[in-house]
Amino acid sequence: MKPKNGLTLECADDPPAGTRPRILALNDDHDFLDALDELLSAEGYDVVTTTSAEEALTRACHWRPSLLITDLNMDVCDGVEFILRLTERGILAGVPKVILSSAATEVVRQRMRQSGVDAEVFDKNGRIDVLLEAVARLARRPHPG
Amino acid sequence: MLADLVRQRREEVLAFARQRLTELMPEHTVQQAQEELPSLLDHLLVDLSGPADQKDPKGAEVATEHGRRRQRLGVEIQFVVHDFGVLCDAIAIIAGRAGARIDAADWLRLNRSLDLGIATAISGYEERRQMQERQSTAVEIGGVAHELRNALAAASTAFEAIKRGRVGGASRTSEIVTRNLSRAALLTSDLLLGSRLQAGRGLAPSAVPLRPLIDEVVGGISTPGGPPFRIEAGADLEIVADRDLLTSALTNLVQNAAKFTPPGGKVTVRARRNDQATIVEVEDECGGLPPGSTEALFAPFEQRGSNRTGAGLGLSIVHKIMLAHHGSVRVRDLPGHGCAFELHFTHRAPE
Repeated sequence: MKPKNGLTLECADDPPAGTRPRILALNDDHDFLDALDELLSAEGYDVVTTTSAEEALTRACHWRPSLLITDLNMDVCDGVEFILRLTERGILAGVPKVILSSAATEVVRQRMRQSGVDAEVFDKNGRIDVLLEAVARLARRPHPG
Repeated sequence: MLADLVRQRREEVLAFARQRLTELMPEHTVQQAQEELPSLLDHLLVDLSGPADQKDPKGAEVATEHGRRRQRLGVEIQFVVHDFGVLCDAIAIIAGRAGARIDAADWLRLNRSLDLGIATAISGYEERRQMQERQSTAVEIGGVAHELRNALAAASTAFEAIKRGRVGGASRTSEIVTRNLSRAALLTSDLLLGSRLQAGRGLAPSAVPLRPLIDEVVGGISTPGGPPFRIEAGADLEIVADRDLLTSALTNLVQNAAKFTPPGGKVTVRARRNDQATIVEVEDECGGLPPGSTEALFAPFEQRGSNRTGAGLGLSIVHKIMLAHHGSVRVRDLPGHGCAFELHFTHRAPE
């Protein structure tokens, strides 16, 4: 699958109906990713984790997750900017996205509004059942495209 | 009147002052100092033309900004005074060359203007320096808070997975809990030690046998899933140091080494003694340092991409601890293999 131009990637089709919801997680903390993988897999999701923004981009395009969970503040990249990059390339349009932040969430929402990024923001240190509920609601939601 | 004379010979005064600056100032600051001379002189001239007992000389108006600019350039504080001094010299010399006498009232005006100018410039300089110091402390604390929250998030997410009963208590997931709680504990004690060092509280030195200390630190960090450790230290080696600070320095190095050594690699901790120093060394198998200055590693929150994340505060604390011991921390790059961080405790003559 070659990129049509510098920005657009030719992505895979949606996974067949009936498969387990897929979650792609991007974070620069290995331990956090491992723990999240453990937790979400046990909840019945197919999980792919990565610490690389490039890999996350490729996975987003070819593996077609039903939900993206990205950290906000990473050494490798910034969560909001990562989502912007996806949007520019037309990847995961209409797929719900979650940003995990350890900073003040309201500041993050404001930044997102300014850059036109649509995602739900959760405190990384908040209650995990709240996050899991949101994941269940978002990942199992039918979405266009 | 002195003001008239200075006005007539303005270029001469400035040329003299410019020349003096090249003799007095550090090279990289000369040009900026020379560029600022005309505006300093203009304000001085306003004061020289005013009443001899003027309450608020105008020279001070530009001086605050002048002081701030000097600080920004990294000029030492004494040179802030020189900028005003050379103008005073220049005026006296040029007046002398012209055969003019400077009367008491003019001296008074000149001195008042210069005194206030210098005082204000120094306040401006100091104000900016303190602001910079506060900012760097704030950045440091923000960085620790961020790392702390990351560690806690990893620990509590892993704990949640265990609590839900899907993974066993002796699993890799429980190791994530252990590892990240000790990461959080180390960050907290680094913060405490950092503030203790910053407050300038003295060390509590005692003779510390190295082998038991290394065993203790390694014992606290090694986990079944982590890299294996190798310790090479003679039983007789000891140094005089603050045991708590030394423990923290070594813990930081060993924890970093464990973190950056990939599966299959090992961490080696050595202690040895040569003519100049006793050296404690932690060698990892991180694959070698990326090209660039190794010095920058010891600055707080130096981040070099994804492969040495989070080493920032730890190494900066280690650096401060070693300074407090009149020692140093060095890093040896072992390209393609890893790197070795060394704590050097220089032998000191018995007091």
